[in-house]
Amino acid sequence: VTPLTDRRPKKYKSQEPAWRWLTQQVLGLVRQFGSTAIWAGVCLYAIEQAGSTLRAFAGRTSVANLLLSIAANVSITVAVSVAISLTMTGLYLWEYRRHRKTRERLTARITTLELKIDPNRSTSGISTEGTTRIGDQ
Amino acid sequence: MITPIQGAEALQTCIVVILAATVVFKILPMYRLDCFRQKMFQVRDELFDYAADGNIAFDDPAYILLRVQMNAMIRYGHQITLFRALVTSGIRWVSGNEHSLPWYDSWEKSLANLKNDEVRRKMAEFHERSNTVAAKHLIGGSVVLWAALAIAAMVLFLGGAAWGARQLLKAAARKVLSGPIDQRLIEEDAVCSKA
Repeated sequence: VTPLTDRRPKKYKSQEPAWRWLTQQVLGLVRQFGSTAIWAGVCLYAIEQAGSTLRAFAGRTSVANLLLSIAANVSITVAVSVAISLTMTGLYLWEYRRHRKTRERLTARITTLELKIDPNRSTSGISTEGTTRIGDQ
Repeated sequence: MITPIQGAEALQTCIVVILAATVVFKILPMYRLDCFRQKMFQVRDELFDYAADGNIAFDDPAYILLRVQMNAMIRYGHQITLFRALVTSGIRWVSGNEHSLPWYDSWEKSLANLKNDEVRRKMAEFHERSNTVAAKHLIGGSVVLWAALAIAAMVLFLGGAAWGARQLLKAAARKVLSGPIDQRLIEEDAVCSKA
């Protein structure tokens, strides 16, 4: 299999000032980690709130009593919704993994066949599994 | 004093918030990016088949440029966001470079050089399709752009546009993706990142 690199001579090449590239990279990092930071912040806040709720029962009841009381008061609607959401998310992630494996299996074959038709065929530059390369993140 | 009922409700709320945040910030973007790449690959495969049928040469500048654009969109699909579009637009404005569209100019020139009208129309159609996929990806990932799209559609509707919902949304998307978020800048940005 021919390596997955862009072997075609560059007929078009744009010039980009270094400061602009650098600014974009910095802002790109902010964008990338900004989303993760918001997610982590929301999760930490929720965990902290759950912790303070549990702390409110400290010294007033035993752990077994507390768990039983809470379990007895869990809303069936919320419990079913959460269970369905978790199942669906799990199924999606499982399917996503299978999809990646299938893509990896087919990519080499498609590339070989297309190169027979167009020897200068260029590639997208993503990984063989169809995901973003680490260097492009 | 907190009762067991209140405690259970508080814990349920915390669990739901964590799950919702995970879906919104982690799972959904992953799914959207996967869909976007899949759709772009589909257009690129159709372009390849079109060239393989002998309609256009594989070394024709129009084919090469369009393939480069699609490859760049696929590779940098995760960067097609409102934030990045606005940043790119701002940087171009600051550097006084806002009218420079090297890829787009080359594309227009190569398209004009195509002798066959049918091939030119078909290549323009492929370009339009790849842009539509990118536009949907950009708008779909931003609540702000969803709101802007709704407002633009409403303005067009109230302005007397007698279109169907699909046409109305397309025209609204064109209105939204003009000005600071010029769609040509998105593809230009992607191609520049690749070069």
